[in-house]
Amino acid sequence: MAIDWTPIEEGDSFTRTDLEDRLNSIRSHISGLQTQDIEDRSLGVEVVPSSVKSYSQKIVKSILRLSNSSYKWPGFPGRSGDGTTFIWAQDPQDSRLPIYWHDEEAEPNTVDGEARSAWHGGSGAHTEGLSLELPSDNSAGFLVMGESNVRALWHHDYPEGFVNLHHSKMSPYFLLFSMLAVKVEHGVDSSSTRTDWFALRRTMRWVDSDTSWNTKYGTGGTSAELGPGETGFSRIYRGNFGGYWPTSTGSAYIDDAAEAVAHGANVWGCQTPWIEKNMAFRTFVSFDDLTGLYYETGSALTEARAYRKVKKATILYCFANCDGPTFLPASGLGVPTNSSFYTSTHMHTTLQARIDTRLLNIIEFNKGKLATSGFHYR
Amino acid sequence: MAIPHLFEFSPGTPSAQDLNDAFYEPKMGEQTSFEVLNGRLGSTNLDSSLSITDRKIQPNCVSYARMAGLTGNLTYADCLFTDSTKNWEDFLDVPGCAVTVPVRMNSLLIFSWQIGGAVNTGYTYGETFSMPTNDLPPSSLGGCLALKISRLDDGVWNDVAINPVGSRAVPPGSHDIAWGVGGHRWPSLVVRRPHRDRFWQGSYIYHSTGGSRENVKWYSARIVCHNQWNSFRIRSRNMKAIVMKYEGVENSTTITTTPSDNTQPAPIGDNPTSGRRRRERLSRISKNEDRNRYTRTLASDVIL
Repeated sequence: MAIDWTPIEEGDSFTRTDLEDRLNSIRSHISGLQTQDIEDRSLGVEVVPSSVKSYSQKIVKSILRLSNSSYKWPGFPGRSGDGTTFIWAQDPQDSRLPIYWHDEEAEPNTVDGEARSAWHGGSGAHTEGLSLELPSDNSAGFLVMGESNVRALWHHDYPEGFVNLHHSKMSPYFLLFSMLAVKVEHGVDSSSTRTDWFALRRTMRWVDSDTSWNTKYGTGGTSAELGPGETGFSRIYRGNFGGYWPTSTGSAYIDDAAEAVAHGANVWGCQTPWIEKNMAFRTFVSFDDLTGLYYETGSALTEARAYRKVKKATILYCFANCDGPTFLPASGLGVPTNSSFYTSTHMHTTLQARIDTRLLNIIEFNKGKLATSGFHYR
Repeated sequence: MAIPHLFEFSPGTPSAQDLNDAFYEPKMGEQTSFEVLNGRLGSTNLDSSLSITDRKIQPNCVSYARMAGLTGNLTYADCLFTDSTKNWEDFLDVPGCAVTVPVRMNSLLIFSWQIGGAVNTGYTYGETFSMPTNDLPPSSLGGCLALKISRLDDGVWNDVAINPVGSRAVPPGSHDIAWGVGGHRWPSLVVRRPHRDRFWQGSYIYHSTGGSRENVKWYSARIVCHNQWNSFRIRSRNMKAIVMKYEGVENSTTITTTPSDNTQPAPIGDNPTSGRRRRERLSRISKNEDRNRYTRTLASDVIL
């Protein structure tokens, strides 16, 4: 229907129905547009809908100190520290879910028991007020970009006890892990839901302490050089482990520690806690990414629970102590039989970490803007 | 393309409100005015017989991106900087880690970067320096990095975001070229952790409003660095800017605390704020200070 553009002359009668006719003719014309009526490259920025539906950005610039002396590293899937457990969000409940907070109101700042989780949430780092509904056809989702700036990772205790106990073993080697967790309201439909936290383990990142594999074993006083293949700790007194070497000891110890460090040795008293390392992740989350994850009842999210809405997100942290006693000869000295690091569930000492900045960026995309086949960004 | 509402006024003389609502009445849910043509057409308006492919849409309407990158060593000697980290003008742009992007619509600007710091070494005995905290206290610093975002307003670049995501650093080391002098017994005393590479993969969202075809807003995002005492070397880096049309509301939350304490664990070493070395340094800095202020460049884009 053509639009009547006849000019309205001064003095012409223009009634309500005339106005309706004009507006509706424009409406009909637009509604009747066919594909061929639209020229290529004709739809500009003014008429194209935005591809972003919502976003949330949380930057926390405050010190978060994590301490861990008892919670045990849950281990890698199938290669956990004790080699017996599968303790990830994908695993059944009776295998100790590492991520599990059923309480709808509680934040994952604390865990409700060692058996449940070794992961700690960082207070204040949650994105609030999210309402990210995930359609079951994966036609929409959200991008998460996160980062944790780990400034320091160190042991808290005086080292002598550990050194005396394990001086002939592999050097201690600490890891700090991070992982994204989301709080999901889920159910068969929106009328009957429950809320659980789930972790996306593909976002797991870690940083290591600044130490070295080669170690130097001294018997007190100034250390002796290690021979080829020898392992052990240089027995440097604790001093100020917050610095680069002991300060409260005599010059001999300072020299000794400095020398050891220069030769690549690991010295407890010299181990700098300042690591200045970042754990960054970027991932896209859609409906299928939550399928198969278990929640408190021991049940897994299936297609039947097609209603899923993400309400919050946060970053979780977990320590691991790495050592290699298993791989050393019985004597405790000699060449290790496995040169890789071995994450252990044993926590010999209290580890501490300091994270100064935590950042979470979440961008929700409009439905229909994602390819439902082919490229699928993970 | 279905516009669902049939325009129909009540009998009598249409009121101004009736007329205005017919042309412009934005609201949640179904749109019933001609305002729907202003970027509010959605899937509900799409007739099944109508196929709008990407060929119909002008390029760079939904999103577009720019990127700059550079590999290679670039060393920032301490003489390039003044003593103060309070003054953000004293931070230098890092070429290859800066991008300038035009914005002609309400958008989210997603900045994403990677930068690697290779060396942060002092070439004097016994000096180790404090590392920056998030908000960069005015203490003496080794090499550190931060994000800066500027906007071109009437021909003038104004900073719109300074250090929004906190600073990052490469841990310092030392390498005294004159070991043995002064009674130091071991070379290992003066060569301490000189190479501690660090990598920063960061991201930040900036919500830009008011841009249009007629009023293009230009933004410049860049990593800036400061190095007060050491020799700071940067290797590979890049900066990406993704612009995505966004008509929603501002939803950014930033928590900034007071400058972080830097006391535990505390670095040790000679106090750089005292003695002859300090006086020499300050003298040198004072000579360079004015020069630094006037040679600062903005967003040195290097596009490879």
